[in-house]
Amino acid sequence: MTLPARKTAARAEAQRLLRRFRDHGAEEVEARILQPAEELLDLYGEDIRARAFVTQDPLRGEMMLRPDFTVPVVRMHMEAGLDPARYAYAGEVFRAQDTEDESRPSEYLQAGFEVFGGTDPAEAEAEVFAVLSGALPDLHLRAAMGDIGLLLAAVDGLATSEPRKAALRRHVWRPRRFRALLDRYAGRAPLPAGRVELLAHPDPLALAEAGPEIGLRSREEVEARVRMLREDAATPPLADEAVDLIDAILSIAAPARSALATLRGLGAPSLAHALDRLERRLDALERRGVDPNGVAFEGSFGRTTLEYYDGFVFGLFAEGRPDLPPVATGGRYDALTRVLGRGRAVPAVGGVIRPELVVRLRKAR
Amino acid sequence: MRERIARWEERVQALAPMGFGHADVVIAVPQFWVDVETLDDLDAVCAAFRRMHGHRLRIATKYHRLTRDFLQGAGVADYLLVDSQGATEGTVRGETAEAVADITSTGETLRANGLKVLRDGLVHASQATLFLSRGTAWGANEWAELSRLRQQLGLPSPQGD
Repeated sequence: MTLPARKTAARAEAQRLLRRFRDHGAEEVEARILQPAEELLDLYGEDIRARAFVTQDPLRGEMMLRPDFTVPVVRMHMEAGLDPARYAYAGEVFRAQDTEDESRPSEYLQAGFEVFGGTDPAEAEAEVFAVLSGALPDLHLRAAMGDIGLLLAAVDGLATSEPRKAALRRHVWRPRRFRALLDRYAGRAPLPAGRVELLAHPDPLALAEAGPEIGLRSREEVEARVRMLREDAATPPLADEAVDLIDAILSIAAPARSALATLRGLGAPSLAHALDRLERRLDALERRGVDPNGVAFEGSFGRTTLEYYDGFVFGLFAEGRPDLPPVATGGRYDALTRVLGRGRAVPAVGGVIRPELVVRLRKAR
Repeated sequence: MRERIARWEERVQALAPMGFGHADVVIAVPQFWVDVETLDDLDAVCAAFRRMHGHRLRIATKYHRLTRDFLQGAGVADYLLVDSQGATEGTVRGETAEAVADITSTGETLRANGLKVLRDGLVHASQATLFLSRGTAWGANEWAELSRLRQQLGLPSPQGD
């Protein structure tokens, strides 16, 4: 197919998906292509600059070509939303592909379906999964899911100080830093050189090499952190079993029902609630005709995506094509609604399909 | 080179390090931050700073891409890169940044400005380097000139690339 023909086919597929989502009760919504950059930067940090196109508007300041619809749709819902609500959208998103495979497009279509509010989160999660996978039965996609909520529950359940838990929670989506923190809290990584002497010193700021007090970070802030470091140094290391539990969650990869049984078998009280939720989700999927054992549960799934999912996460992949990005992805993002709603949170779960990939896979068959 | 060109290895070939212009891009913070020695500390301070001040900790730099890739790889979060095209080492004193990612050869300028380099804060070690474009179509004259240059610099002849 030529480029215009491919584009036309992808647009038609996006419209087909949009109709399907509307048939499932979704209201069609639009979002501007140019989004204020500040909000996205505040949410995702500088990392997003490497992934999104940033441009300058003389009046509005820094703008970003929308890297996804999630943030504008959440904002829209929080400003004037009904509860519960279902939304559908289709349009281009823009992603800079600086470090990735050059063949990955920097602009592509997304067709999305989002469910806000409601009283049964497991039911909403199963609905989103079933609606997305049900839209592409002909492609026989491989389905995988994970649950960031399990990891968060394991962190909450650690027998350690609140600052340590907060630091781990903050880095759940940055596997390398999370691992470094875990090693340090478990007493498996050495303290930086000079740290012991610093903490033993009655007035560290009087040390000879301490230079002038410059910049916005004040002396009080430095002193407060030194106090915190002292408290942290007095905190007992994490027990090996606690680290093992987190490793067990991260390394699990099995059909969803078996994964649930394995996780139950770990016998961790801190996971009980999250595992009940997982079980309700699998039951809800089954009621919708999805065989949970046809879905792989992967403990570390969804930890490195752009969207900060904080519960159920899933992806649909073309079998035997590890070179291709997922055809569909989605998950729960309650925490994002809390940030954008300025304290007011709404349960939210949704997902997107990439129509160009759908067309490409259909053509290859 | 690494700052300006994506996938630079495919586009240019490093022909020879020139042995001069040694300079490192490093992350530096105020010396009186006695609680900060490593990126791990910097990350923790970024989180606390954001809670306290309501905005992200600002790192002034000219080397946005190098710095961002480096900090992303290390899993540092909640910082903001602010552009500084000159006198970066003075931005902390001027309160337009809390830390810097700047080029230094001896660290003297940083020290004189009350800053210290993080132990694991070496973003990039660089020196002046002669690069060869892989993408340019060359004529006979250019190739002759290159081989003259190679001789002059005492570089080996190209082997098949």
